[in-house]
Amino acid sequence: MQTSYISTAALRGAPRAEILRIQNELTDRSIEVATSRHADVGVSLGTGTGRTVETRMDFALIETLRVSNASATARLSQTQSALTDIEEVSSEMLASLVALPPGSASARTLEIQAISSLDRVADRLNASDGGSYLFGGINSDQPPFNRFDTGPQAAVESAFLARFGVAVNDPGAAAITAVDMADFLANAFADLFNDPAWGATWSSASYTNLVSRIDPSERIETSTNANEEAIRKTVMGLTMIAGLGIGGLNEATRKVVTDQAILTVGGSITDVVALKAALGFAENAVQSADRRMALASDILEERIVTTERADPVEAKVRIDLLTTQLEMSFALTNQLSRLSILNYV
Amino acid sequence: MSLDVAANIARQSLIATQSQIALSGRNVAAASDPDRSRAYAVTATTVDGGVAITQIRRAEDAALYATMIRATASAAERDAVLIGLQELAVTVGDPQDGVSPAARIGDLRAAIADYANAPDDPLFGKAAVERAHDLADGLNRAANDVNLLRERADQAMAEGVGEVNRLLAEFDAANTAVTRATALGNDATMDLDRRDGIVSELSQYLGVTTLTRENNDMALFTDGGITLFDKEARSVTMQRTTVFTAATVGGTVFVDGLPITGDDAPMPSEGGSIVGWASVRDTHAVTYRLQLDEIARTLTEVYDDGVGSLFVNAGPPDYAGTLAVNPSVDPAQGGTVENLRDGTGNPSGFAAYSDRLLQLDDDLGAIAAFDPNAELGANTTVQSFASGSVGWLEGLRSTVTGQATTERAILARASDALSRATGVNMDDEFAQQLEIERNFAASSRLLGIIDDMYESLLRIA
Repeated sequence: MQTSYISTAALRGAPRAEILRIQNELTDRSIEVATSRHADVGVSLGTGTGRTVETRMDFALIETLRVSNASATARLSQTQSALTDIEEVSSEMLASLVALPPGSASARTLEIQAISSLDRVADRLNASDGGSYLFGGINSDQPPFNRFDTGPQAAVESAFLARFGVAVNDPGAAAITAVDMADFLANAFADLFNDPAWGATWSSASYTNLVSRIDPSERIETSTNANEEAIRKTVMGLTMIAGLGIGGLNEATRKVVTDQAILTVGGSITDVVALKAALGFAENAVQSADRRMALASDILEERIVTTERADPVEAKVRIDLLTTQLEMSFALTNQLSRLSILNYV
Repeated sequence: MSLDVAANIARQSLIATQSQIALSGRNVAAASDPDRSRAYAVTATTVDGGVAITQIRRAEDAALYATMIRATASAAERDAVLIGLQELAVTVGDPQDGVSPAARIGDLRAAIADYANAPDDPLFGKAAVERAHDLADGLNRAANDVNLLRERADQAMAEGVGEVNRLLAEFDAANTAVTRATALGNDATMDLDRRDGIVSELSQYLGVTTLTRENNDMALFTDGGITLFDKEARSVTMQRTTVFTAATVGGTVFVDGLPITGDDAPMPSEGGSIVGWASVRDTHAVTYRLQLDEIARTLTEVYDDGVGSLFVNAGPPDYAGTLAVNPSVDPAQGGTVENLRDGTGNPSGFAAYSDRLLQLDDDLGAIAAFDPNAELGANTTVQSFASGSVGWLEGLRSTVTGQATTERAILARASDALSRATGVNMDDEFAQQLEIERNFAASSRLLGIIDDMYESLLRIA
């Protein structure tokens, strides 16, 4: 008797408890169909939630670096084009120097070309990219290079006066001997392009280049600065022609200056090309870092999706099943509540 | 045998059937009350061959009842822990929302990496300081949420203690009624039902075991073995704490002067919502809070560099609650982002000085020492520690969710089994009522026949 007994409350309550459970699961599965993610990622993944959070952090860092690499690439290619201009200016100067006919008149024309070349070089060196100066090194918030007439010219002229006792363009300069001039160019003049005079006269750039983090673990220099040897030589060669009043020198002395200028400008072109090549390596490194990070970002995104993903197809199948179950439970509840002995007496 | 005897038997039968129909009516009325059980009359044959109701009994199953109250206590305990953990999980959110301290550290790290690649652009610096604000706010809020949760847990425990004391007083009254009725041989079933109902309500707050003695007298013990009720109710006490901060230690629950919660309880309780809330208040929330504090402390140390320090805090123990962005790097508080860029370096003030910012990222990735009590490993990076904290919390929540589901299922099955065994089946009751009705009719008819017989007899005389 006891074993076969069932109370009315147990009989009626049996389907009801199931209905609650089914409705809860139905809500969760609906969310999964809509989002293709687990309804409650924390409960589904448990301890693994920490890992997916960490993956998302790595993913965000890579996305940030990819964006900032774009600006490094822009800076590098702008620097490249500025260096190309400088190289072009030097080449033109070199061509004019080599083709220079004797005589002071053509020397004066060349002097004018050299002054404007110097200004062009200074302008290119003061190029900026959205507020930061390309050739400033890490001192990027001020124009790194002085134009010829704002300081350097005076420095050159005072060195000239100190060595020879006559001013630049003074008629007395015609008496300067070739030997004296060679000595001046090798010492007092050359010192103007070495530290500390270089920093005081020409350039306020920092010797330290910008270092960019181009991927989570790689850092490279992604700029150059106006203190590079290539720039010094270019400026030195141009200044010989522009600042020493070669029109007023005698033929032999002028030849010493122009020969030295040809050597220096010629050498500077090689150095500029080498500098461009170094920047090219940096550009290359950024590009390959970008490629690596694009791949890594795909992999990380994939990992996040696989970890947090709930199969919407499976969820849909479950929903169909649950709906059927729910309908049956409803029908059963209704049927049981109608089932009473009172209806049959 | 005589007509007198027959009449007497018919009369006894009438009385017995009336009692039975009354009991059946009572059963039908009790059919929807889960605390009530089926009552039935025990009949015995009298000396003259009639029937008499000797006792009213109820359907009982002590084993199922013990299982049911144990399951009630376990389910209530896991449910309380789960509610607490769900509230803690709000501070972490869904991984894709990026609101956890770990995700905010990731944001700050990315912003600083961005700034390091363009140190001469103060907008990137501002963005980094904004992210630092978000992180500090997130940790402040999380720390505050933990404090509030502990306050709520404390309140729930105090309410539970109040309920237990109230129920113990009710139990006292019900138990007295049971023992008195049993001793006098009266119908004790209603009082027994009431007493059982009180015990099962009590077990929602505190796991109990029962011991039944002479005259149905019952003693109650906590599931740890401390006496709750023996002839008289023992006092359950707890010191309320209204405001929780990082270092606050909540009051212990005492039964009969012995602690039942906390590490130094000699006979700790295991079931009931009081115990569940106590483990939220004293264990889970405290560990999580320590994790938050360790994150805040390490962040402050990692980003510390004189005027360029990114964070400040008010020191132990409340690191997470007091973490703030250093005013000297925050333009909104009169500082400049250049301080963040330079720290104590960059004497020439170069605009594109990135050494420190790059160094900060290295420092963030460096192994730091953490409090091993935070349960996340002593030496790791702050980023792994923070994401480990998310994993710790969600892992715990996932486990407890599973346990709570299991406990609820066990409770449902135990209640169902108990209800099957001791509940009322209305259809069966109705069938019995029909039988009783027939019985009553037959006895009544018998009386009529006896009356007729007497009349014939008297007429002859």
